[in-house]
Amino acid sequence: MNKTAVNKFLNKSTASCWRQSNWPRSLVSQHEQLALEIEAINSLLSQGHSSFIHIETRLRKLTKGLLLHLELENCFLVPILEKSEVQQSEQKNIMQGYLVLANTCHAISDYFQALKLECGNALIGDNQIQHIQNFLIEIKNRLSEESIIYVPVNNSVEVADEI
Amino acid sequence: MKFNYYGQGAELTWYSQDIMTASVDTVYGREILCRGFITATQSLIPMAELFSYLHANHELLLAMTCQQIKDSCQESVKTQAPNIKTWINLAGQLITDNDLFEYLYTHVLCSLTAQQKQNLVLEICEDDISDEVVVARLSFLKTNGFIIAMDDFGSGHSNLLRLSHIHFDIIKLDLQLLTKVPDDLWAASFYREIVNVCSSVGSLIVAEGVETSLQSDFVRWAGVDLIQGFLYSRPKPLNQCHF
Repeated sequence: MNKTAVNKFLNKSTASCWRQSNWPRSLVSQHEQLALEIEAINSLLSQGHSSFIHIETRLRKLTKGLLLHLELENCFLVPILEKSEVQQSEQKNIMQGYLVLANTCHAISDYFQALKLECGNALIGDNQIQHIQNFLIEIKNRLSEESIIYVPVNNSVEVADEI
Repeated sequence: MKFNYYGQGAELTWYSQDIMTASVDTVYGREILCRGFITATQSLIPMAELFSYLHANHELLLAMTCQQIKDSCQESVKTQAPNIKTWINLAGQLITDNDLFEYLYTHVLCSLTAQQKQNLVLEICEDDISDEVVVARLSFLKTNGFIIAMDDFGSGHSNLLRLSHIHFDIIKLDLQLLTKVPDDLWAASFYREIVNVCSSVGSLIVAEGVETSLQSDFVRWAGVDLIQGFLYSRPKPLNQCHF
């Protein structure tokens, strides 16, 4: 869903300043949930006897969640980023990254749905495991690249904890 | 409205809570809520106890609903806010019971003008839409110019088949669906999918229970049309409403 046109009308309750907005904290917590889900899928893959149909449902949950997360970042983070201390070049990378990862998600999702229809209830093969692991690594890398913009948030949380 | 509460004199009064458009700067309507007080002490009757009492006393329930409709129509005239819709909760018994429904329709609903009907939203709880009689009566009300809303969608026995068959004008998403949104990614993902499902049947969608600015951002982003919650409005006595 392209929400670009909607974004400009969503500024009434969005804080204009990075440190004042509650969105970064919420989005950081979503990063943690995505990481946990990736861990859970990796754990299933490592067991080596999962059927493809079960793995695909977990991947579908992950890609749906990830796409939602990317859309939320695109809508609520990008406008605040422009007023933050994050450098222009980093901002540009982040914005390009949204599109790349979203496209990967759609492609992977389509690919595995097609495979599901072909494989039936067969056990997952080594090739497919490799393919899924590459996808999971790509997501993890992408989330790590993003983490630089969340540093101010994490710092302020630590300060608050000390107080 | 006075009544007898287990041998004590008591009173029912009406409160109202605003329902906002998703653009947030305009009021779309107000939901009429009921509160009960013991007259002698002016102490509030706990909500759960009051509703349990009302649901066991059908005649009082009927009288209350009739009075709410009459009072809110009068209030609309007094406050000169004809475009503000009044939302009234219809208890399931008033729809399922032949006598109660007939009385409600012939003595109150039937006498409303076309304009008054269009400014009245009749809310019925998801779980009260339990059989074909209710479905037929809701369709009858719709045909006769009333706006029908399904209340608390998602918290009861959600019947998606029924959702696709009855064209509710409005669907109110239960506040429990929103509790963990947007911090919980999976709850947020689920909420967005429900909004999409409800959108596909062509109903206006209300997000209930919006309490934070993040939730407000999220539900508007997800595509809801109307917002209700403490972030924008808390229930206040009906006669203190200003538009």
